Amino acid sequence: MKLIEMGKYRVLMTGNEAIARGLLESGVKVATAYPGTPSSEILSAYVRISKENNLSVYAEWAVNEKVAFEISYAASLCGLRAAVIMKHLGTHWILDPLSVSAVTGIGGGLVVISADDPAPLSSQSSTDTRNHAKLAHIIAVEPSDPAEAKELVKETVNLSEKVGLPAIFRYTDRIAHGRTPVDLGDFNTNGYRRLPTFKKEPDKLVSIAPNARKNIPNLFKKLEKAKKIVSRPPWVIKEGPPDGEFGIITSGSPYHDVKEALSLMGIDDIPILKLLISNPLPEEPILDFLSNLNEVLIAEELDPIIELEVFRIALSNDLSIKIYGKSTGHLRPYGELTTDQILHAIHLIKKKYSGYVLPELNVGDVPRRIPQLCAGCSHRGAYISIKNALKKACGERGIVLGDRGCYNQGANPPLRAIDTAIAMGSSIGMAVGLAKSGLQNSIIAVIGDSTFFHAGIPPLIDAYVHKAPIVVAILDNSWTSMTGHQPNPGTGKNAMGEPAPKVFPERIVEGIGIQFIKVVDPYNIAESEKAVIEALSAAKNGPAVVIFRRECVLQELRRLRKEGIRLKPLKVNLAKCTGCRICIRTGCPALEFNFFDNKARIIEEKCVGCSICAQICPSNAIESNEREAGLW
Amino acid sequence: MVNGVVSIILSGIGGQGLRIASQILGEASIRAGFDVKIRESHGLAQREGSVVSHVRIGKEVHSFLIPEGTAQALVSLELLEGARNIKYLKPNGLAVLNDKLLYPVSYYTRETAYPDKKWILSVFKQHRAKLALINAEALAKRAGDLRASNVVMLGFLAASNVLPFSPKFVVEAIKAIFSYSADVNIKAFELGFEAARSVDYET
Repeated sequence: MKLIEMGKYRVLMTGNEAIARGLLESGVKVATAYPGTPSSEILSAYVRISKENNLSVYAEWAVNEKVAFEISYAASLCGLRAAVIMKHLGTHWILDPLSVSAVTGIGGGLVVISADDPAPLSSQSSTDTRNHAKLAHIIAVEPSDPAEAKELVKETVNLSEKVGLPAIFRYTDRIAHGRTPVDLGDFNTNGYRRLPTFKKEPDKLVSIAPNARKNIPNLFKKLEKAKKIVSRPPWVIKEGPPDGEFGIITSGSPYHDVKEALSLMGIDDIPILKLLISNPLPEEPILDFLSNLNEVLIAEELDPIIELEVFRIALSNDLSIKIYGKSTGHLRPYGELTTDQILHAIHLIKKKYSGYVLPELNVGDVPRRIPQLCAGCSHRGAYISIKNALKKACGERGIVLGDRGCYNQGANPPLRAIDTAIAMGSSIGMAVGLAKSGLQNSIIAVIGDSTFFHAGIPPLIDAYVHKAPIVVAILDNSWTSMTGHQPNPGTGKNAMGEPAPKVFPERIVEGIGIQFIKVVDPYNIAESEKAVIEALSAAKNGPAVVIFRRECVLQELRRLRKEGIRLKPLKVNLAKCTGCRICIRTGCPALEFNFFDNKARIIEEKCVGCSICAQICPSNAIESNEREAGLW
Repeated sequence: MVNGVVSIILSGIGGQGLRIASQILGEASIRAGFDVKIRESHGLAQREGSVVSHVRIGKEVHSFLIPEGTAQALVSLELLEGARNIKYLKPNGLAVLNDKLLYPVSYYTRETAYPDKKWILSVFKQHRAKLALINAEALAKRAGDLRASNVVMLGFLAASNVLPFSPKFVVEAIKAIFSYSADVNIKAFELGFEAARSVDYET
């Protein structure tokens, strides 16, 4: 939705939009990112709002998070305010330069926006990136909702610049994809007028061990400086009565669940301490808060980071206070924190607070609705070709290692096309590992275009040098599709919407020295299958690469819709259909099966006419209407 | 209202326009001077997965998530998805269901079950829900666009006195959000609104 921006105006915003707005209001001139749910919408909102308001910025979808960080770090060293945006798993890729940037210090405010996914709803693991701040000895902040996120971004950029340390801005899916009213503020136009200067300071910036040894003590001085600043609002906020026997310390979106729980129980006399920063920890206000209580509950999301610090503070100050939280089993150490869990914890601690009882409801299990590859997805053609080729050439299912992206949906029934999905680029590295372990199965690594550019090239070099007998299938659909179609090096477009040079994976593969490279159209099952069979036999003495190239169908449809071109769906010739359900087992959402007449049908409003089902139908029962397959 | 907050759970499958529906309620709330919090599912549009939105409206809203058993209304664009989220609905709450069963692919391959409609409705009856089944797609088609089923459902909701503000704020929000196709969507809203007046609730 287009935002109406007229000075101070209240608009409904997601956390991601609010963070983008906050970055621009604080004068952040350089923003870089690698897409990853739940963070993906920030950079596009940053670009959109900057264009709407004529703010001169540089935004980039970088090839991976580490490169993104290095670009923004350099911008910061030049005195500009900079941000780098990623999901929690992405921050694990930047720890090397991040930890060094803490030692060298920075110039302009530098914020790492890190989207955690506690549930997880869209991640392979759930990690608490506040830990990175402890590891690298930098600042870690967290907001509780979109409106607060926007203000906290601004405070964080200022704090980072003031003390000369990068900051991790940790927020969660609930805030990223939650919407609240947000009050718009003014843009700090000074931030955009800054001119870049690079000061040569080899004692700092050539961070070899002797220099690092000299600079590390300074890092701790900066942290102490930050600690003094954050001992007051907005970093720490006390609510409720000045004292009581039982209180709650909370941070992030659980703050609102604590309020909800107390309100459901009808309690309004419990002191609450809300922390918007976990590193450095505002120790004095915490000690103050604890000193007046007999019992305290710590409600934070994922790891008990604040909780363990509270134990330490209580211990070192000889406080006789009972501390409850994750380490005492009152709250789960994983997953999203909900009002229900907090109600339960409060009830466990204080039996007298039980004013709210969940209604009993015994529905039984509602079957899961399993997501599929989209109708017309080119990955479906690639997977079917790979499965058929393995069966024909090797008489076995082989082992197919997946990677991170849309093509993960291919693991779901009925396709069940991949056996693993671990981390960015892991498919190829693990394929080498399986082959070198002496496994006799055929091994195929499947990786998307964006993932290949991000983390697939080093393991492919490794596979070549060590003659790993594996097939690498690059599913190249020209976009980073899973996260909402961000451009990548293969797209030919950049984050600002301008044309960009295009990188072709086959040229990289060729450059490595790999001999077998085939580029095929995954909509052509016979051609694709043949290429995989050839690759399997060519891969006896080193990797063979098949590139399945076809643009993401959703992007193609978007373009056709703009041009007013209507697609012509295929249809099932019911006289020919034998009810074998081979088409249904492709998992295409445009197909349905009628168990009464034992025939498949095509759902016309969903079919894009890719013809994959028609090509694999043993009875040739799926026919095009007027149009030939593959024409559009 | 639980502590002055109205909670509405919206459910369906990817691509049914759930996100826009919750956005409309959010925009309407702001226009009516209320605080609002919305939590949406992301990443499964077009991919046939379950989606759900939590919408909470009040003078001051705390949690993004509706505590189980407290929603005043459940609005579902698909029957099974309604049953999936019934735990959020308070007993005797309003359930507005689009009378539509969308079978997942895995049902056709017999890899997952899909309960029959009778079972789904029995779940709501067991919960003593004030249940209304409407054919939102027929009404959306009559308004001029099948895709406006989501707005038909909002029309029904707005007529059932759950929202703490006048339906005119919803219409204003629709106008702001659908700048090009506002007419079709306002018509869809009106048809849903009218449907609520003539519906027989199944309890």
